[in-house]
Amino acid sequence: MAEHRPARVWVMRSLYLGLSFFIIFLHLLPLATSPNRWVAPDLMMALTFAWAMRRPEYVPALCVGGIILLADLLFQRPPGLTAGLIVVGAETLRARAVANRDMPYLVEWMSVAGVMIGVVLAQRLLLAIFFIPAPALSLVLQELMMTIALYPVVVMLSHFVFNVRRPSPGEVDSLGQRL
Amino acid sequence: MAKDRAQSEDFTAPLKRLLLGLVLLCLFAIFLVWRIDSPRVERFRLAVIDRVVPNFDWAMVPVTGTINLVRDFQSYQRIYQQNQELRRELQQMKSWKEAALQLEQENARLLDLNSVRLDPRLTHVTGVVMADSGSPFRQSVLLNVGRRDGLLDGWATMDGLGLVGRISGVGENASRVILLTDTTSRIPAVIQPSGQNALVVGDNTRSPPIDFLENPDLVRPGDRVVSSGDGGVFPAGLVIGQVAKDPGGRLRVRLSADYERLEFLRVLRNYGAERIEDTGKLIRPEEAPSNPETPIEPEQTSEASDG
Repeated sequence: MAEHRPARVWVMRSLYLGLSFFIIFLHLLPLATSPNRWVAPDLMMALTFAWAMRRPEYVPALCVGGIILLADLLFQRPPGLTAGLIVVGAETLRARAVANRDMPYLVEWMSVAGVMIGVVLAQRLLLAIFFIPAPALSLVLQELMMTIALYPVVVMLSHFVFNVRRPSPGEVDSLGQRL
Repeated sequence: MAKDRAQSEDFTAPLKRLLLGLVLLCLFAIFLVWRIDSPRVERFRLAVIDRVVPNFDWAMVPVTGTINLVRDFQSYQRIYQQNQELRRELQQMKSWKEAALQLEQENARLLDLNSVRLDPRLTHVTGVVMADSGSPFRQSVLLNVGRRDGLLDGWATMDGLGLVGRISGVGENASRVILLTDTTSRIPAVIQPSGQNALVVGDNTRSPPIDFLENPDLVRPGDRVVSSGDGGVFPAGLVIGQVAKDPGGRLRVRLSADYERLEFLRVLRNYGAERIEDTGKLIRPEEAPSNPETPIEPEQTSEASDG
């Protein structure tokens, strides 16, 4: 079982960081300097949640917090707020990951959508509490819908391209323990 | 086996929970500190951008170039139409150019006659756009010029045609330009020819609305909007755009600058107008000296007045 050497976990963690960097890079490309009517989905959140649902060991809280804090800093968002909320969201999903293995896909999608809505709501609430001007609600809702709609695509890509799958029954890790 | 797993969970779970708690604590602490002491954290943010974004540059330039090439290629499909349009525009331009040349000469002659002195310090630095804000909610770009080139916060930025925004945040090698379309942008402007003062208020749309207009009846769509220089942040007289009316009847500015393609931006050096600080002194006739041969000193005069 070469797949389950500890090295693989580290490879996948760095792959997660690499993909996140790539997404940041795409966002930073100076292509759309005039305001657009449509908003790109928050792919980083979708990626983080998809992996937290399937293989929580690939997305440790430190990685998630660090990379999204960097995104916060680069994208002119309130630093630490989105990062903190996404870490909380990922941990919520991680706690459900084991139970999720036997669930149909639709249930997974629903629960992830629920967590995403929770993150966005909490964000708006905190922005309101701290008197920080919040971005337009229509844009935020649009971004949220796009992210939820694109979640299955992210899952498919993770499944077929990056080989991030739910552990099949009977799979063991490097120490011979059941996953 | 299940028992083993449970035991190892017992061993690592508290550690993991501790780490998670620390991460969350750090993140929300950063948020709180940002809320309390924003300038310091913004400086930190700019330092991070200064380190990270120029490293992306080697990849960004070719990718942006390629995508723009593809976009241009799509426009080749209607090349004939464009050619016709351009020819027509060129005709108009030629007549305008003639008029402009004549006006320029006339202007130069008049300036010479009046011996007007233009501000010699109004020079500019040109920078290349490295990256945009990355977020759909903020409108800003990063330039590859910074403190190294002597940039200061608040300087005006133009492309070839009109005002684009103002510098907000200067790093060593990079600086951020808040565009006029950003929700935090407020620019004092004058609407010509009626001379009405107004604010151009960014609201994350392509054409920012005009606010705080004294008398909207005097303003017509098509009027020119130029910066007014009020508040001393911007030099006066930079072209912003033209007034347009949106379907809701609200007055907006159609920006002159080509926001679709911001590639090279010009940062105007502006050290601010010299401020006149003291109030005017009383002007009084010089006291006629009683004895013109001896120079009068203040003490002597006071003694004289006493005696």
